Amino acid sequence: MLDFRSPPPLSGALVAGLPLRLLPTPPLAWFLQQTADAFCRLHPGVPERLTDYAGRHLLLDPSDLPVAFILTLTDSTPRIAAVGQDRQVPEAPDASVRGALADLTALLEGEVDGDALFFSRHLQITGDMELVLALRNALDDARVDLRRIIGESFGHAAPLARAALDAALGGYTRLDRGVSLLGRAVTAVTQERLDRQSSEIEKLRAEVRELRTQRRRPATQRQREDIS
Amino acid sequence: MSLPRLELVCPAGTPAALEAAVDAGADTVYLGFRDCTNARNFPGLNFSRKELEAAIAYAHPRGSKVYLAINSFPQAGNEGPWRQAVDDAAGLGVDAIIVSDIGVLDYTARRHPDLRRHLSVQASAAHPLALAYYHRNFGITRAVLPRVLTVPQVKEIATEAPVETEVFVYGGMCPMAEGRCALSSYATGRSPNTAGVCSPASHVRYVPEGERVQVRLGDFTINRFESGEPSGYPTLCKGRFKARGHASYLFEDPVSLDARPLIPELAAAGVKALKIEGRQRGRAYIAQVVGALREAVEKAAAGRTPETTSLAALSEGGRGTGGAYRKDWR
Repeated sequence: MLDFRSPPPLSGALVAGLPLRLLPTPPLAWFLQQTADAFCRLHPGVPERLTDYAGRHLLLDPSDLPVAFILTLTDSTPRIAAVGQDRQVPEAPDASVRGALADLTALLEGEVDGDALFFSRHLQITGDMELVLALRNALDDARVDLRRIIGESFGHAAPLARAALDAALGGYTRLDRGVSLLGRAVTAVTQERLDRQSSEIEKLRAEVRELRTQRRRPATQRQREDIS
Repeated sequence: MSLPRLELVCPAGTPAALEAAVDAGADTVYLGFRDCTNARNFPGLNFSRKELEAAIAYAHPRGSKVYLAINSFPQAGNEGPWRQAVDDAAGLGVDAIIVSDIGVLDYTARRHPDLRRHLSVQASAAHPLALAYYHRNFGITRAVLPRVLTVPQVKEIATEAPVETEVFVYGGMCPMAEGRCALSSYATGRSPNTAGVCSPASHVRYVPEGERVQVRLGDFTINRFESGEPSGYPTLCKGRFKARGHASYLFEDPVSLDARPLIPELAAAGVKALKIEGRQRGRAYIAQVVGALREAVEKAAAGRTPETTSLAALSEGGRGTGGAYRKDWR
């Protein structure tokens, strides 16, 4: 079973992804494989750099989507399949990468540094680190444009698909802002309480420091008296 | 008071990163071949011969130089990759090679006397006598100094040594005598000195423990991070160990070197070039860090003190340090 103990971020993807729960797997699987095929046509250097890892399985797990993806590397085009949160993974993955959808797509397109995301704990990685690093380095060099790949995966209908994607991305950006605003509204009262508590803790810390300093002074003086 | 404008030497692990570095204002880009001949032999990283040729063709017309790091140590019976790397570097026209092993330096000096030779930080040469020896016997023209020196020590070397000096200014901190550190070998059997990689990814595991994560290197648990606590590279020197019942960082915190405010001092000390660490980092890091350091170098050259702004999010542990240059903890 997948491990979903760490909660997802409140994001547009979390809300927009809810209808995916209703979508049957076959159309999604078809779309994903079309995208993987298009990716390899546009970036043949990536699978070439990864031939040493043929046969390995990587779980890509967007924490704010109700589905995750299993990427299986091969000698040529990788296979990609979707798994639902409440389903068994068909085969134990060699490694997994979990993070918000926005972080994972930014990483895929090389807009953010993978190590920085990892240092800040926005990415959770388990399993075979060599596989994860090899994939990250190959993708970083490829200058991936996800919009172009998704468009390409629709063949002759690419211009139409790109236009639809742009409209969807525009709607998504507005949704994400709305969800972010909603999140701030919901947590505002708690945040205010936390800020008050932080300020109180800081004051107490300062008092403790002052008390410790005061306690040390007589000890130092006593030491000097002993020496003399 | 205006100071010399220091050469900015920037890392690249992929062709895309090299282009990002050149476009962001790198005077020089350093890189390695995709094998054990360099100290960043990470999976999926580094350059094929063809990619190096294209890299030079991109960098030179834009006024940037390309240095090739051949800075791991050959083993008996397997010197071939190092000889080949030197020959190919000369053939492809790199501006300099960065070498640590005296045998490889000697081979280069004899076979390719016109190929400029820099002494790698991996040689761990930290005083003028050692640099004079390397200069006299192998004709090195520059040395990359270890990250364990204070600014006064750097000044002494820059003044007395018969070669140019290059120092690290930003990126991962190595608190050890580089080229002589065996911590990674102790835990995994592989080290930067021989296999070209510290804490090889094949031996690293992150094991979730509820909200916490356990970091394992080989058979050792070297750290545990609480939920949301910033993390760093999985090296033994940045492991957190229990001593007398208290867990702490015994060697070095997870933190990145950020010596930007010290650039004027380093320039006044006679340093020739500043090096950014991070061939293993993505091109987003390269573009941002090179841009920030370019700004810092220009500021220092104009007589102003650069600040440490805008790069915390890219740093190990989310923060920067002046490192050994200040050495105020001793």
